[in-house]
Amino acid sequence: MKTLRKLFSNKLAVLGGIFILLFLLCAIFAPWITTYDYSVQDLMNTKVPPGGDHIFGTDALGRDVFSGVVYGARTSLLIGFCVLVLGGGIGILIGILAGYFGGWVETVLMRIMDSLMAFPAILLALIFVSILGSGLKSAIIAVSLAQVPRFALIVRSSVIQIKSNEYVAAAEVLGQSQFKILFLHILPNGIAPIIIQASLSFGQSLLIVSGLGFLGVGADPLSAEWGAMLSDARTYLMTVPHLAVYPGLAIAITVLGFNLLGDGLRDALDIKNY
Amino acid sequence: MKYVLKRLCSAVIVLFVMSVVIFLIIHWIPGDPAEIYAGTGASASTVETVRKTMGLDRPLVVQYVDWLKGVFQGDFGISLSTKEEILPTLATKFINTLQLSVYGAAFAIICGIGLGVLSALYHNTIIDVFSMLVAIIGISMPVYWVGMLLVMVFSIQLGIFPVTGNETWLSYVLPSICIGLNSLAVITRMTRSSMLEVLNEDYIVTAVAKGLRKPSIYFVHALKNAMIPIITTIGMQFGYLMGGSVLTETVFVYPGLGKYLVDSIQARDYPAIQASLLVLVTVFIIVNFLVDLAYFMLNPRLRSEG
Repeated sequence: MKTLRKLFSNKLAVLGGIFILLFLLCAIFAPWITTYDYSVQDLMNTKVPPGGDHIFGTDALGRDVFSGVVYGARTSLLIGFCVLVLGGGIGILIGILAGYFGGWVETVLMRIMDSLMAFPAILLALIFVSILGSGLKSAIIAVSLAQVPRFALIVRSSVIQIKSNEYVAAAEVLGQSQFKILFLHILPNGIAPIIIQASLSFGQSLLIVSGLGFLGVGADPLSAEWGAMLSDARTYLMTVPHLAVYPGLAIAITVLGFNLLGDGLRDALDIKNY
Repeated sequence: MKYVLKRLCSAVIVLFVMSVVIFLIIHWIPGDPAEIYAGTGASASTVETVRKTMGLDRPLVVQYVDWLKGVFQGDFGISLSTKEEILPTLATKFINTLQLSVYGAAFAIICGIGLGVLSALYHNTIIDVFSMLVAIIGISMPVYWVGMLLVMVFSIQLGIFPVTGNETWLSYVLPSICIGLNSLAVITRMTRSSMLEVLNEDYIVTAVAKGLRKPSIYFVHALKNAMIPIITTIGMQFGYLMGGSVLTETVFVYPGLGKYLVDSIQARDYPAIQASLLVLVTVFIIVNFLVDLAYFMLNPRLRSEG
């Protein structure tokens, strides 16, 4: 409760929360918010400036930009969710194993994590895309891989801290299985830093996946994905500048929301050590 | 010394693993490497000739050693799309990217440290709020979108800077800002928190009490001691800057390594992909090692342990 009150008294964190809420509402209610189908091309009404029927205008194929931006929230939610499940899941598992067992298991796992962490995610992603081929799926796998070490590092350090608590020793003495100790006693007590990292990771992965879409090696260029829409907009930067405004704004606001919330959570939970 | 050796070892191991991964790209992708090298629509006999001349029928280990030997001699193979040697193109693109990264880093370091120091000195004032706002927005905006906005405002609307290319010094201004913005945000945050910590230390309070002139306190005593974490951050950022070049170069159609990599991926030009990835990764690992080295030199505690 104290944490929540602290979080709500932080104006920036609340603003972040509002941005995220807006993003989630768009993602969930996309079919009800929009009047046009983004996949439908209307070659009679191309490059219409914002206003009137098309409040964000239309693109070079006559698609409604507003629909694209709203449906883009769906794509982004899917991306973020997949990255958190895949990257977060693997990272948490590695962190727990390394922190709990220590010894050579820890050394080997953490060396690998350090090396992965040292590379910019976009570079790792491009290596992946060259192997798996372009597409949203390879982009998501690549970005998940880049998030694994971030989760592993924070989980490991909190596991090491928690491990020394007496209730863990008590559980060990009582002869509980290691599996139970790890997932019922240690993990729930280390959840706070994981939530913060999840918020920050969501924003980061959105930036990278949309970046890949922008480079033309991520999401399908014709799909409602913010990065792909911006890639399209770059071609018409001179003649139809409004195309570049809204998808970019959508990414920036969403990522800003998750970053502000992550920072706010960190302050509210008073966690400094990572 | 032990610390440095350990770091050097791990850098070499990572470099080795990455080189194996990059080498294997051509074997991991679906399809027969010989067919890919021969190009689409090549006859069966051509594919067989390619397989023989390139030695694709030999064991992977032998192929890897051969490939690495070539790389050390500057032989990155022949581009599939231009049918020319990769090395000369790679070299010019690399220098271009290095140039852009240095300008971007200079912009990020000067403005980042400046903003960070100011916001620490004027803690909790409007200046502080402003620079923290710049910092959080700087890490939330997509790099390439910033680039597009810069082009829209300063090139298309105001006509001050060229839209693309690298012909005059003016054409470096916008890409440098774009590539450096992210790092600027990170450096600002780091400088601010590091300075705030140092400003609360006893020796600063003492210096103020002794009546030393304020600027000398802040810039000689405080900033010097706040520098260790800042330098580490800067070093890390330089590596990230080169990685981020991929996006910035695409926006500004800047003839650098990042753009070359993306173009090669789109053209499925695998030798070129391998060459540019290898160079980017190597630079990255070297920069990281140098950062570790700098950290070691600057941190007396580590030095005496080693």
